[in-house]
Amino acid sequence: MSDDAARLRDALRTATRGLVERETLAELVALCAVAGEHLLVVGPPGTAKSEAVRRVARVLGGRYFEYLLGRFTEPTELFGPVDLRKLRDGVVETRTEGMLPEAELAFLDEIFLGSTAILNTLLGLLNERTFRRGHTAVESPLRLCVGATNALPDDETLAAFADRFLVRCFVGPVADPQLEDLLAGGWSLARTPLAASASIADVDALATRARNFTLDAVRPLLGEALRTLRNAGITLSDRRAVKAQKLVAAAAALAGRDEATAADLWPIVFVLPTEDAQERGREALAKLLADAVNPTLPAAAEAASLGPAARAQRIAAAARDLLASTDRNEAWRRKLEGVAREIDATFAADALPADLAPVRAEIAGILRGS
Amino acid sequence: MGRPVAWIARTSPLAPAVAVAEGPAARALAARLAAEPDRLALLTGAASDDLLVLEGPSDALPWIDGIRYLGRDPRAPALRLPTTHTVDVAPELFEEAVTSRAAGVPLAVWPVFGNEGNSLRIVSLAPLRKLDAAALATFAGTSP
Repeated sequence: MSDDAARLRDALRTATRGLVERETLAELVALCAVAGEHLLVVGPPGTAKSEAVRRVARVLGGRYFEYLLGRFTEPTELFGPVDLRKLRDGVVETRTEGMLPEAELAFLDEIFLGSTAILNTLLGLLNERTFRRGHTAVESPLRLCVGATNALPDDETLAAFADRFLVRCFVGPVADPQLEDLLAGGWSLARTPLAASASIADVDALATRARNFTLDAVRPLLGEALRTLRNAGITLSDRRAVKAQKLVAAAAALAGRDEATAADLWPIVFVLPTEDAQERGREALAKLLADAVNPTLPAAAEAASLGPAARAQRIAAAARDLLASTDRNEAWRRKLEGVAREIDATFAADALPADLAPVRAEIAGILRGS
Repeated sequence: MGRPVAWIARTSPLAPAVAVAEGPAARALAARLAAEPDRLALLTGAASDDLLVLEGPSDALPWIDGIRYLGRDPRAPALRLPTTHTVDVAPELFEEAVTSRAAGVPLAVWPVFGNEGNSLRIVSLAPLRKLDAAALATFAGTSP
Protein backbone atom coordinates (compact mmCIF):
# COMPACT_ATOMS: atom_id res chain seq x y z
CA MET A 1 0.00 0.00 0.00
CA SER A 2 1.32 3.46 -0.85
CA ASP A 3 2.22 5.84 1.98
CA ASP A 4 -0.60 8.22 1.10
CA ALA A 5 -3.22 5.43 1.17
CA ALA A 6 -1.78 4.17 4.47
CA ARG A 7 -1.99 7.67 5.97
CA LEU A 8 -5.59 7.99 4.82
CA ARG A 9 -6.43 4.59 6.28
CA ASP A 10 -4.93 5.54 9.67
CA ALA A 11 -6.59 8.96 9.55
CA LEU A 12 -10.00 7.38 8.92
CA ARG A 13 -9.52 4.98 11.85
CA THR A 14 -8.72 7.93 14.10
CA ALA A 15 -11.65 9.94 12.80
CA THR A 16 -14.19 7.19 13.44
CA ARG A 17 -13.00 6.32 16.96
CA GLY A 18 -15.91 7.10 19.25
CA LEU A 19 -18.46 7.08 16.42
CA VAL A 20 -20.78 4.11 16.14
CA GLU A 21 -21.93 2.73 12.78
CA ARG A 22 -20.53 5.75 10.95
CA GLU A 23 -17.41 4.09 9.53
CA THR A 24 -19.06 3.60 6.13
CA LEU A 25 -20.00 7.28 5.93
CA ALA A 26 -16.49 8.41 6.91
CA GLU A 27 -14.94 6.08 4.34
CA LEU A 28 -17.31 7.28 1.61
CA VAL A 29 -16.17 10.84 2.35
CA ALA A 30 -12.60 9.73 1.63
CA LEU A 31 -13.63 7.76 -1.47
CA CYS A 32 -15.55 10.73 -2.92
CA ALA A 33 -12.71 13.14 -2.12
CA VAL A 34 -10.29 10.97 -4.12
CA ALA A 35 -12.81 10.42 -6.93
CA GLY A 36 -13.71 14.12 -7.03
CA GLU A 37 -17.41 13.35 -6.74
CA HIS A 38 -19.94 14.66 -4.22
CA LEU A 39 -21.76 12.76 -1.50
CA LEU A 40 -25.34 13.07 -0.28
CA VAL A 41 -26.10 11.75 3.21
CA VAL A 42 -29.72 10.98 3.93
CA GLY A 43 -30.88 10.39 7.48
CA PRO A 44 -32.94 11.76 10.35
CA PRO A 45 -31.66 14.58 12.58
CA GLY A 46 -29.25 13.67 15.35
CA THR A 47 -27.57 10.72 13.59
CA ALA A 48 -24.03 12.15 13.68
CA LYS A 49 -23.96 12.95 9.97
CA SER A 50 -22.16 16.25 10.42
CA GLU A 51 -19.90 14.92 13.20
CA ALA A 52 -18.61 12.11 10.98
CA VAL A 53 -17.90 14.47 8.07
CA ARG A 54 -16.35 17.09 10.37
CA ARG A 55 -13.99 14.56 11.91
CA VAL A 56 -12.82 13.29 8.51
CA ALA A 57 -12.25 16.86 7.36
CA ARG A 58 -10.22 17.52 10.51
CA VAL A 59 -7.91 14.54 9.99
CA LEU A 60 -7.47 15.47 6.34
CA GLY A 61 -6.54 18.99 7.34
CA GLY A 62 -8.09 20.71 4.34
CA ARG A 63 -9.85 24.10 4.28
CA TYR A 64 -13.25 23.15 5.59
CA PHE A 65 -16.56 24.99 5.36
CA GLU A 66 -19.73 23.87 7.06
CA TYR A 67 -23.18 25.48 7.14
CA LEU A 68 -26.71 24.61 8.17
CA LEU A 69 -29.06 25.94 5.49
CA GLY A 70 -32.55 27.24 6.19
CA ARG A 71 -35.35 28.60 4.04
CA PHE A 72 -34.17 32.14 4.67
CA THR A 73 -30.44 31.59 4.29
CA GLU A 74 -28.95 34.38 2.18
CA PRO A 75 -26.35 33.58 -0.51
CA THR A 76 -23.87 35.84 1.30
CA GLU A 77 -23.91 33.46 4.25
CA LEU A 78 -22.37 30.75 2.06
CA PHE A 79 -20.47 32.59 -0.62
CA GLY A 80 -19.41 35.75 1.16
CA PRO A 81 -20.57 39.37 1.30
CA VAL A 82 -20.49 41.77 -1.62
CA ASP A 83 -17.38 43.95 -1.65
CA LEU A 84 -18.90 47.35 -0.82
CA ARG A 85 -15.89 49.32 -1.99
CA LYS A 86 -16.07 47.78 -5.46
CA LEU A 87 -19.84 48.12 -5.45
CA ARG A 88 -19.37 51.91 -5.25
CA ASP A 89 -17.47 51.59 -8.54
CA GLY A 90 -20.35 49.64 -10.03
CA VAL A 91 -18.64 46.27 -9.76
CA VAL A 92 -20.47 43.42 -8.00
CA GLU A 93 -17.74 41.30 -6.52
CA THR A 94 -17.99 38.84 -3.71
CA ARG A 95 -15.49 38.62 -0.85
CA THR A 96 -14.97 34.89 -0.58
CA GLU A 97 -12.27 34.73 2.12
CA GLY A 98 -13.07 31.89 4.49
CA MET A 99 -16.29 31.05 2.68
CA LEU A 100 -17.53 28.13 0.58
CA PRO A 101 -15.87 29.16 -2.71
CA GLU A 102 -12.45 28.79 -1.03
CA ALA A 103 -13.15 25.52 0.76
CA GLU A 104 -11.45 22.26 -0.16
CA LEU A 105 -14.03 20.22 1.77
CA ALA A 106 -17.59 21.38 2.44
CA PHE A 107 -20.55 20.14 4.41
CA LEU A 108 -23.97 21.68 3.78
CA ASP A 109 -26.66 20.48 6.14
CA GLU A 110 -30.33 20.62 5.07
CA ILE A 111 -29.03 21.33 1.60
CA PHE A 112 -32.42 21.23 -0.14
CA LEU A 113 -33.73 24.09 1.99
CA GLY A 114 -31.43 26.41 0.04
CA SER A 115 -33.08 29.04 -2.16
CA THR A 116 -33.00 28.91 -5.96
CA ALA A 117 -30.28 31.56 -5.93
CA ILE A 118 -28.14 29.44 -3.65
CA LEU A 119 -28.73 26.18 -5.50
CA ASN A 120 -28.04 27.74 -8.91
CA THR A 121 -24.69 29.09 -7.71
CA LEU A 122 -23.94 25.78 -6.01
CA LEU A 123 -24.51 23.94 -9.27
CA GLY A 124 -21.60 25.78 -10.86
CA LEU A 125 -19.41 25.05 -7.85
CA LEU A 126 -20.30 21.36 -7.81
CA ASN A 127 -20.15 20.75 -11.57
CA GLU A 128 -17.31 22.94 -12.74
CA ARG A 129 -15.52 23.81 -9.50
CA THR A 130 -16.08 27.45 -10.47
CA PHE A 131 -17.75 30.13 -8.39
CA ARG A 132 -19.63 32.69 -10.45
CA ARG A 133 -21.59 35.55 -8.97
CA GLY A 134 -21.90 38.99 -10.40
CA HIS A 135 -18.46 39.98 -11.68
CA THR A 136 -16.77 37.29 -9.62
CA ALA A 137 -15.57 34.19 -11.40
CA VAL A 138 -12.99 32.17 -9.50
CA GLU A 139 -11.71 28.61 -9.67
CA SER A 140 -12.70 26.70 -6.56
CA PRO A 141 -10.35 24.27 -4.83
CA LEU A 142 -13.36 22.16 -3.81
CA ARG A 143 -12.49 18.46 -3.74
CA LEU A 144 -15.74 17.29 -2.21
CA CYS A 145 -19.10 18.67 -1.11
CA VAL A 146 -21.14 16.60 1.32
CA GLY A 147 -24.82 17.49 1.40
CA ALA A 148 -27.12 16.26 4.13
CA THR A 149 -30.86 15.94 4.16
CA ASN A 150 -33.54 14.20 6.20
CA ALA A 151 -35.17 12.78 3.10
CA LEU A 152 -34.73 12.72 -0.66
CA PRO A 153 -36.66 15.56 -2.33
CA ASP A 154 -39.89 14.86 -4.24
CA ASP A 155 -39.72 18.13 -6.17
CA GLU A 156 -38.36 17.57 -9.70
CA THR A 157 -36.13 20.63 -9.71
CA LEU A 158 -34.56 19.62 -6.43
CA ALA A 159 -34.24 16.04 -7.65
CA ALA A 160 -32.23 17.35 -10.62
CA PHE A 161 -29.93 19.19 -8.20
CA ALA A 162 -29.69 16.06 -6.03
CA ASP A 163 -28.48 14.15 -9.07
CA ARG A 164 -25.21 16.15 -8.86
CA PHE A 165 -24.38 14.06 -5.79
CA LEU A 166 -23.13 10.82 -7.32
CA VAL A 167 -22.84 8.88 -4.07
CA ARG A 168 -25.73 8.39 -1.64
CA CYS A 169 -25.29 7.20 1.93
CA PHE A 170 -28.39 6.38 3.99
CA VAL A 171 -27.93 6.46 7.75
CA GLY A 172 -30.30 5.69 10.59
CA PRO A 173 -30.25 5.75 14.38
CA VAL A 174 -27.82 3.36 16.04
CA ALA A 175 -29.22 -0.16 16.55
CA ASP A 176 -30.26 -1.29 20.05
CA PRO A 177 -27.26 -3.58 20.67
CA GLN A 178 -24.88 -0.66 20.04
CA LEU A 179 -26.54 1.84 22.38
CA GLU A 180 -23.97 1.43 25.15
CA ASP A 181 -21.17 1.91 22.62
CA LEU A 182 -22.94 5.04 21.36
CA LEU A 183 -23.12 6.52 24.86
CA ALA A 184 -19.49 5.68 25.69
CA GLY A 185 -18.26 6.88 22.30
CA GLY A 186 -20.23 10.12 22.46
CA TRP A 187 -18.83 10.87 25.91
CA SER A 188 -15.25 10.30 24.79
CA LEU A 189 -15.61 12.23 21.51
CA ALA A 190 -15.55 15.64 23.14
CA ARG A 191 -12.42 14.73 25.06
CA THR A 192 -10.50 13.21 22.15
CA PRO A 193 -8.72 15.96 20.21
CA LEU A 194 -8.19 15.30 16.52
CA ALA A 195 -5.14 16.40 14.58
CA ALA A 196 -4.53 16.19 10.86
CA SER A 197 -2.68 12.95 10.18
CA ALA A 198 -3.22 12.85 6.43
CA SER A 199 -3.51 15.80 4.05
CA ILE A 200 -5.23 17.12 0.97
CA ALA A 201 -1.94 16.44 -0.83
CA ASP A 202 -2.46 12.72 -0.07
CA VAL A 203 -5.99 12.94 -1.49
CA ASP A 204 -4.67 14.68 -4.62
CA ALA A 205 -1.88 12.14 -5.14
CA LEU A 206 -4.36 9.27 -4.92
CA ALA A 207 -6.76 11.11 -7.25
CA THR A 208 -4.00 11.51 -9.85
CA ARG A 209 -3.12 7.84 -9.57
CA ALA A 210 -6.78 6.86 -9.98
CA ARG A 211 -7.25 9.07 -13.05
CA ASN A 212 -4.35 7.27 -14.75
CA PHE A 213 -5.87 3.79 -14.37
CA THR A 214 -7.14 2.34 -17.67
CA LEU A 215 -9.98 0.23 -16.15
CA ASP A 216 -9.73 -2.15 -19.16
CA ALA A 217 -9.74 -5.25 -16.94
CA VAL A 218 -12.76 -4.20 -14.97
CA ARG A 219 -14.95 -2.57 -17.62
CA PRO A 220 -16.55 -5.86 -18.79
CA LEU A 221 -17.43 -6.61 -15.17
CA LEU A 222 -18.94 -3.16 -14.77
CA GLY A 223 -21.02 -3.76 -17.89
CA GLU A 224 -22.16 -7.07 -16.42
CA ALA A 225 -23.06 -5.31 -13.17
CA LEU A 226 -25.17 -2.73 -15.03
CA ARG A 227 -26.98 -5.44 -16.97
CA THR A 228 -27.60 -7.39 -13.78
CA LEU A 229 -29.07 -4.29 -12.18
CA ARG A 230 -31.31 -3.63 -15.19
CA ASN A 231 -32.55 -7.23 -15.06
CA ALA A 232 -33.40 -6.64 -11.42
CA GLY A 233 -35.44 -3.57 -12.41
CA ILE A 234 -32.82 -1.08 -11.18
CA THR A 235 -31.84 1.46 -13.81
CA LEU A 236 -28.81 3.65 -13.47
CA SER A 237 -28.66 6.72 -15.72
CA ASP A 238 -25.90 6.69 -18.34
CA ARG A 239 -24.33 9.68 -16.61
CA ARG A 240 -24.19 7.87 -13.26
CA ALA A 241 -22.92 4.68 -14.87
CA VAL A 242 -20.04 6.47 -16.57
CA LYS A 243 -19.14 8.46 -13.44
CA ALA A 244 -19.24 5.31 -11.31
CA GLN A 245 -15.95 4.39 -12.98
CA LYS A 246 -14.28 7.27 -11.10
CA LEU A 247 -15.34 5.66 -7.83
CA VAL A 248 -14.06 2.24 -8.92
CA ALA A 249 -10.70 3.78 -9.84
CA ALA A 250 -10.59 5.72 -6.55
CA ALA A 251 -11.35 2.52 -4.59
CA ALA A 252 -8.46 0.77 -6.35
CA ALA A 253 -6.07 3.63 -5.65
CA LEU A 254 -7.07 3.70 -1.98
CA ALA A 255 -6.57 -0.09 -1.80
CA GLY A 256 -3.01 0.43 -3.01
CA ARG A 257 -3.55 -1.43 -6.29
CA ASP A 258 -1.87 -0.64 -9.59
CA GLU A 259 -5.11 -1.16 -11.47
CA ALA A 260 -8.78 -1.66 -10.67
CA THR A 261 -9.96 -5.24 -10.19
CA ALA A 262 -13.19 -7.07 -9.36
CA ALA A 263 -12.47 -6.24 -5.72
CA ASP A 264 -13.11 -2.55 -6.51
CA LEU A 265 -16.58 -2.76 -8.09
CA TRP A 266 -18.44 -2.29 -4.81
CA PRO A 267 -18.91 1.53 -4.99
CA ILE A 268 -21.52 0.99 -7.70
CA VAL A 269 -24.01 0.11 -4.93
CA PHE A 270 -23.64 3.58 -3.42
CA VAL A 271 -24.37 5.18 -6.79
CA LEU A 272 -27.89 3.72 -6.75
CA PRO A 273 -30.12 6.67 -5.91
CA THR A 274 -32.54 5.34 -3.25
CA GLU A 275 -32.18 3.19 -0.14
CA ASP A 276 -34.49 0.57 -1.62
CA ALA A 277 -32.48 0.47 -4.87
CA GLN A 278 -29.26 0.03 -2.88
CA GLU A 279 -30.81 -2.83 -0.87
CA ARG A 280 -31.99 -4.60 -4.02
CA GLY A 281 -28.77 -3.78 -5.84
CA ARG A 282 -26.72 -5.37 -3.07
CA GLU A 283 -28.66 -8.61 -3.43
CA ALA A 284 -28.62 -8.59 -7.21
CA LEU A 285 -24.85 -7.99 -7.30
CA ALA A 286 -23.97 -10.32 -4.39
CA LYS A 287 -22.06 -12.81 -6.57
CA LEU A 288 -20.28 -10.13 -8.60
CA LEU A 289 -19.20 -8.30 -5.44
CA ALA A 290 -18.29 -11.41 -3.41
CA ASP A 291 -14.56 -10.57 -3.66
CA ALA A 292 -14.99 -6.93 -2.65
CA VAL A 293 -12.25 -5.92 -0.30
CA ASN A 294 -10.47 -2.67 0.54
CA PRO A 295 -7.95 -2.28 3.37
CA THR A 296 -8.45 1.51 3.53
CA LEU A 297 -12.24 1.44 3.25
CA PRO A 298 -13.18 -1.91 4.84
CA ALA A 299 -16.55 -0.88 6.28
CA ALA A 300 -17.79 0.69 3.04
CA ALA A 301 -16.65 -2.33 0.98
CA GLU A 302 -18.43 -4.66 3.35
CA ALA A 303 -21.59 -2.52 3.53
CA ALA A 304 -21.80 -2.46 -0.28
CA SER A 305 -21.05 -6.09 -0.97
CA LEU A 306 -22.17 -8.04 2.10
CA GLY A 307 -19.26 -10.14 0.91
CA PRO A 308 -17.37 -12.54 3.16
CA ALA A 309 -14.00 -11.18 2.02
CA ALA A 310 -14.82 -7.62 3.08
CA ARG A 311 -16.40 -8.82 6.31
CA ALA A 312 -13.39 -10.97 7.17
CA GLN A 313 -11.03 -8.09 6.49
CA ARG A 314 -12.96 -5.74 8.76
CA ILE A 315 -13.11 -8.27 11.59
CA ALA A 316 -9.41 -9.12 11.19
CA ALA A 317 -8.49 -5.41 11.33
CA ALA A 318 -10.60 -4.89 14.47
CA ALA A 319 -9.01 -7.97 16.05
CA ARG A 320 -5.47 -6.82 15.27
CA ASP A 321 -6.20 -3.40 16.79
CA LEU A 322 -7.42 -5.07 19.98
CA LEU A 323 -4.53 -7.51 20.15
CA ALA A 324 -2.09 -4.61 19.81
CA SER A 325 -3.52 -2.95 22.92
CA THR A 326 -1.40 -3.10 26.07
CA ASP A 327 -4.31 -2.19 28.33
CA ARG A 328 -5.59 -5.72 28.93
CA ASN A 329 -8.32 -5.29 31.51
CA GLU A 330 -11.75 -6.93 31.86
CA ALA A 331 -13.33 -4.51 29.34
CA TRP A 332 -10.63 -5.43 26.82
CA ARG A 333 -11.26 -9.12 27.42
CA ARG A 334 -14.98 -8.63 26.80
CA LYS A 335 -14.23 -6.85 23.51
CA LEU A 336 -11.93 -9.72 22.51
CA GLU A 337 -14.70 -12.16 23.30
CA GLY A 338 -17.00 -10.03 21.13
CA VAL A 339 -14.62 -10.42 18.20
CA ALA A 340 -14.42 -14.19 18.72
CA ARG A 341 -18.21 -14.30 18.86
CA GLU A 342 -18.50 -12.33 15.63
CA ILE A 343 -16.01 -14.63 13.89
CA ASP A 344 -17.80 -17.81 14.91
CA ALA A 345 -21.26 -16.36 14.28
CA THR A 346 -20.23 -15.24 10.79
CA PHE A 347 -18.06 -18.07 9.47
CA ALA A 348 -18.40 -21.82 9.84
CA ALA A 349 -15.22 -23.47 11.10
CA ASP A 350 -14.58 -25.14 7.74
CA ALA A 351 -15.07 -21.87 5.83
CA LEU A 352 -12.93 -19.54 7.95
CA PRO A 353 -11.09 -17.10 5.65
CA ALA A 354 -7.31 -17.40 5.62
CA ASP A 355 -6.67 -13.97 7.12
CA LEU A 356 -8.98 -14.70 10.07
CA ALA A 357 -7.64 -18.14 11.04
CA PRO A 358 -4.44 -17.02 12.82
CA VAL A 359 -6.25 -14.13 14.49
CA ARG A 360 -8.96 -16.47 15.80
CA ALA A 361 -6.33 -18.89 17.06
CA GLU A 362 -4.55 -16.12 18.96
CA ILE A 363 -7.78 -14.83 20.49
CA ALA A 364 -8.87 -18.35 21.47
CA GLY A 365 -5.50 -18.92 23.15
CA ILE A 366 -5.80 -15.72 25.18
CA LEU A 367 -9.40 -16.37 26.22
CA ARG A 368 -8.65 -19.98 27.13
CA GLY A 369 -5.83 -18.89 29.40
CA SER A 370 -7.74 -16.15 31.20
CA MET B 1 -42.27 -38.70 1.23
CA GLY B 2 -39.87 -36.29 2.93
CA ARG B 3 -36.22 -35.84 2.21
CA PRO B 4 -33.42 -34.74 4.51
CA VAL B 5 -32.58 -31.07 4.20
CA ALA B 6 -29.12 -29.93 3.27
CA TRP B 7 -27.48 -26.97 4.94
CA ILE B 8 -25.92 -24.26 2.81
CA ALA B 9 -23.85 -21.23 3.75
CA ARG B 10 -25.81 -17.98 4.18
CA THR B 11 -24.86 -14.96 2.07
CA SER B 12 -25.34 -12.78 5.17
CA PRO B 13 -25.03 -14.18 8.68
CA LEU B 14 -27.91 -13.83 11.15
CA ALA B 15 -27.38 -11.75 14.27
CA PRO B 16 -26.76 -14.22 17.13
CA ALA B 17 -29.62 -14.48 19.61
CA VAL B 18 -28.97 -17.94 21.07
CA ALA B 19 -25.76 -19.71 22.04
CA VAL B 20 -25.52 -23.48 22.39
CA ALA B 21 -22.64 -25.40 23.95
CA GLU B 22 -22.39 -29.18 24.21
CA GLY B 23 -20.31 -31.62 26.23
CA PRO B 24 -17.07 -30.34 27.86
CA ALA B 25 -17.57 -26.90 26.31
CA ALA B 26 -20.97 -26.66 28.01
CA ARG B 27 -19.49 -27.47 31.41
CA ALA B 28 -16.53 -25.12 30.99
CA LEU B 29 -18.90 -22.33 29.94
CA ALA B 30 -21.25 -22.99 32.86
CA ALA B 31 -18.31 -22.74 35.29
CA ARG B 32 -17.29 -19.39 33.77
CA LEU B 33 -20.82 -17.97 33.74
CA ALA B 34 -21.37 -18.94 37.39
CA ALA B 35 -18.71 -16.32 38.22
CA GLU B 36 -20.21 -13.55 35.99
CA PRO B 37 -23.39 -12.31 37.70
CA ASP B 38 -23.59 -9.18 35.52
CA ARG B 39 -23.71 -11.28 32.35
CA LEU B 40 -26.10 -13.83 33.91
CA ALA B 41 -28.56 -11.01 34.59
CA LEU B 42 -28.82 -10.36 30.83
CA LEU B 43 -29.39 -13.98 29.80
CA THR B 44 -31.97 -16.70 30.11
CA GLY B 45 -30.99 -20.31 29.68
CA ALA B 46 -31.27 -23.95 30.56
CA ALA B 47 -28.74 -26.66 31.27
CA SER B 48 -29.44 -30.37 31.04
CA ASP B 49 -27.51 -33.56 30.23
CA ASP B 50 -24.70 -32.39 27.94
CA LEU B 51 -26.32 -29.20 26.73
CA LEU B 52 -26.24 -25.54 27.80
CA VAL B 53 -28.57 -23.19 25.91
CA LEU B 54 -28.45 -19.42 26.41
CA GLU B 55 -30.62 -16.66 24.98
CA GLY B 56 -30.07 -12.92 25.19
CA PRO B 57 -28.76 -9.78 23.46
CA SER B 58 -26.03 -10.50 20.90
CA ASP B 59 -23.29 -8.70 22.79
CA ALA B 60 -24.14 -10.49 26.05
CA LEU B 61 -23.77 -14.00 24.59
CA PRO B 62 -20.50 -15.57 25.73
CA TRP B 63 -17.89 -17.20 23.59
CA ILE B 64 -16.06 -20.46 24.15
CA ASP B 65 -14.30 -22.70 21.66
CA GLY B 66 -16.93 -25.00 20.14
CA ILE B 67 -19.93 -22.78 20.89
CA ARG B 68 -22.65 -22.55 18.26
CA TYR B 69 -24.71 -19.42 17.57
CA LEU B 70 -28.30 -19.35 16.34
CA GLY B 71 -30.33 -16.43 15.12
CA ARG B 72 -33.81 -15.46 14.03
CA ASP B 73 -34.54 -15.74 10.30
CA PRO B 74 -37.46 -13.41 9.49
CA ARG B 75 -38.80 -16.05 7.08
CA ALA B 76 -39.01 -18.64 9.88
CA PRO B 77 -39.68 -16.58 13.03
CA ALA B 78 -40.63 -19.57 15.19
CA LEU B 79 -37.16 -21.04 14.79
CA ARG B 80 -33.64 -20.07 15.79
CA LEU B 81 -31.32 -21.31 13.08
CA PRO B 82 -27.52 -21.42 12.70
CA THR B 83 -26.22 -17.91 12.03
CA THR B 84 -23.88 -19.23 9.31
CA HIS B 85 -26.13 -21.67 7.48
CA THR B 86 -29.63 -22.04 6.15
CA VAL B 87 -31.58 -24.95 4.71
CA ASP B 88 -31.87 -25.67 1.00
CA VAL B 89 -35.66 -25.41 1.09
CA ALA B 90 -37.87 -22.38 1.68
CA PRO B 91 -37.43 -21.41 5.35
CA GLU B 92 -41.21 -21.10 5.69
CA LEU B 93 -41.66 -24.76 4.69
CA PHE B 94 -38.87 -25.86 6.99
CA GLU B 95 -40.48 -23.98 9.87
CA GLU B 96 -43.81 -25.67 9.15
CA ALA B 97 -42.15 -29.10 9.09
CA VAL B 98 -40.22 -28.53 12.33
CA THR B 99 -43.08 -27.01 14.31
CA SER B 100 -45.30 -29.93 13.30
CA ARG B 101 -42.80 -32.27 14.96
CA ALA B 102 -41.96 -30.33 18.11
CA ALA B 103 -43.85 -28.09 20.49
CA GLY B 104 -42.80 -25.09 22.56
CA VAL B 105 -41.83 -22.31 20.14
CA PRO B 106 -39.48 -20.72 19.64
CA LEU B 107 -37.40 -23.78 18.74
CA ALA B 108 -33.64 -23.88 18.43
CA VAL B 109 -32.69 -26.08 15.47
CA TRP B 110 -29.26 -27.10 14.30
CA PRO B 111 -27.75 -29.93 12.27
CA VAL B 112 -25.85 -32.81 13.79
CA PHE B 113 -23.45 -34.51 11.41
CA GLY B 114 -22.82 -38.09 12.45
CA ASN B 115 -21.45 -41.31 11.08
CA GLU B 116 -24.98 -42.66 10.68
CA GLY B 117 -26.07 -39.64 8.70
CA ASN B 118 -27.22 -36.14 9.40
CA SER B 119 -29.97 -35.29 11.81
CA LEU B 120 -31.50 -32.29 13.46
CA ARG B 121 -31.31 -31.30 17.08
CA ILE B 122 -34.46 -29.44 18.13
CA VAL B 123 -34.69 -27.77 21.52
CA SER B 124 -37.58 -25.69 22.81
CA LEU B 125 -36.59 -22.26 24.11
CA ALA B 126 -39.93 -21.78 25.88
CA PRO B 127 -38.65 -23.16 29.24
CA LEU B 128 -35.58 -20.87 29.35
CA ARG B 129 -35.37 -18.94 32.61
CA LYS B 130 -32.96 -16.65 34.46
CA LEU B 131 -29.91 -18.70 35.33
CA ASP B 132 -28.88 -19.46 38.86
CA ALA B 133 -25.13 -19.31 39.54
CA ALA B 134 -25.28 -22.20 42.02
CA ALA B 135 -27.17 -24.42 39.56
CA LEU B 136 -24.65 -23.58 36.85
CA ALA B 137 -21.78 -24.47 39.16
CA THR B 138 -23.46 -27.80 39.91
CA PHE B 139 -23.93 -28.45 36.21
CA ALA B 140 -20.29 -27.59 35.59
CA GLY B 141 -19.20 -30.11 38.22
CA THR B 142 -21.40 -32.94 36.94
CA SER B 143 -19.46 -35.88 35.50
CA PRO B 144 -20.23 -36.52 31.79
